[in-house]
Parts: sequence; structure tokens; C-alpha cells
Amino acid sequence: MEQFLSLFFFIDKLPAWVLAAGMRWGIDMACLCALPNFFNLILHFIIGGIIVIMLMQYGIRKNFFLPLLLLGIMFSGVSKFIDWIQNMLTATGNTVFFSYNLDLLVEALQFIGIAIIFYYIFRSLFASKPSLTKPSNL
Amino acid sequence: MIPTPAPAPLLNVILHGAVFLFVLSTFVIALIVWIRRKRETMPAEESESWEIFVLGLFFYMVSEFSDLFTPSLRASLGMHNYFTEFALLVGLAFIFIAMRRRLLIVSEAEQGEQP
Repeated sequence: MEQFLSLFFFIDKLPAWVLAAGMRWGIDMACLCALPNFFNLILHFIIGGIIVIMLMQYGIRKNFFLPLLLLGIMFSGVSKFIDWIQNMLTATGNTVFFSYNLDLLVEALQFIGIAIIFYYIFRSLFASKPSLTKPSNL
Repeated sequence: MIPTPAPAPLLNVILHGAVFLFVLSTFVIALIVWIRRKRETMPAEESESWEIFVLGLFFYMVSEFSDLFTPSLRASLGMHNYFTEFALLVGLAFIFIAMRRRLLIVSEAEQGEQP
């Protein structure tokens, strides 16, 4: 089991100066704790931005496809933000930070977010052929 | 520093499992619908949207599978976190590319219908 874990957690194998740099600056090169979460958070901002631009371009449709998609990405984004905070506390602290309650909150928010996103994308994909699509299908 | 695996609270396991099963079932349904519709001569651009959506769901599902182990490990660090988050990043990016493509196709169709 230890060998299996060491595949995932190579933090102990890193030189001390790399660990020290990670903890000092929170740049997170030491344990890759929060860096991937940070990229995910940025992606959520980019997607949210694209949806806002599309909202301005196409306007709010009858069945609120874009606003609800934005709501979904906001839920997912908040969950990723909390996840990032958890991992950042590990990156900048002296020990691994993990809270079961925060983990529950992260998963619950993610569940709500993706449920909204998947439902509305599915609905859009299930709409009739593009040539026959009515405006209300958006 | 490496956390030793420990039994996680049932609620955490259930919620992580629920998210994984939800994404897994969405992936399977999307895959079946896409294959069945493709057989019924689905237009190429519509098929592409489905293809990207299914691919995105696959990456998202892989990420959630990896995330299943987070509560028992009581952390998501190093390669575990790297794998989980980047699979999710790729999956989410594909899902939203599919959504945007679909929206553009529908929008073009609408403009074509207008006199």
C-alpha cells in the first residue's frame, strides 16, 4: 500500500529546498496540492466569462438555457474554490489539511453544479435537427 | 507527510460515489444515444457536438473515479491531485466546447430560418 501511495504522493521524495519554497511562497511546486485546483478555478472563470459574453450576444431565451448554465458553473466554481482553499492550506502549512465537512460541501456543490449543466446541455443536444430547431429550443 | 489510508465517514463515501455514478450514467446514456442517432444518419456537425460531449464526460468520469479515494486518503496531493484535477479540467473544457458548438449551430439555423 505504501508503494502504491508513493506513486501518488511524491512529496517526501522532493529536496528540502523545494518543499521550503513551496511552503514559503505558496507556489505549490512542492506537493502539487493547490496548483491543479488553481488551473481548474481559472477554467471556471473563463467558461463563466464565455457564457456571460454569449448572454450579451444572444440574450436570455425563453427557457433560460444560458443563465442556468451560468448558475451551474457558479456552483461548480464555488466548489472548486473551497477545494483550492483546502489544498492551499496544505501547501502553505506544516501538515496536510483535510476536513470531512468541507469535502462534503465541495462534493454537494459540484453535484448540484454538474446536474444543472448536464441537464441543460442534454436538453439542447436532444433538441430536433438544427434546420428544424425553433428559437425556444435554446 | 504521506497520509495513511483510513476508513472514511459513510456520508463522504456516499456523496463521492453519487457524483461518480451520476457522471458514469450520464456518460453511458450519452454514448448510447450518440451511437444510436449516428446510425440514423445524424448530420455531421451535430454528431461532432455529441462526440466532444461524450469525450468530455469520459474525462470527467475518470476524474471522479480518482476522487473516490480522496476521503479515505484524507487528502488530494501530489500525483493524485494532479490527475484528478487535470482530468476534470480536460473534461469540463470538452463539455463546454460541445455546448458552444451546439449553440452556434442552433443560432445559425435560426438565422437561416428568418426571412
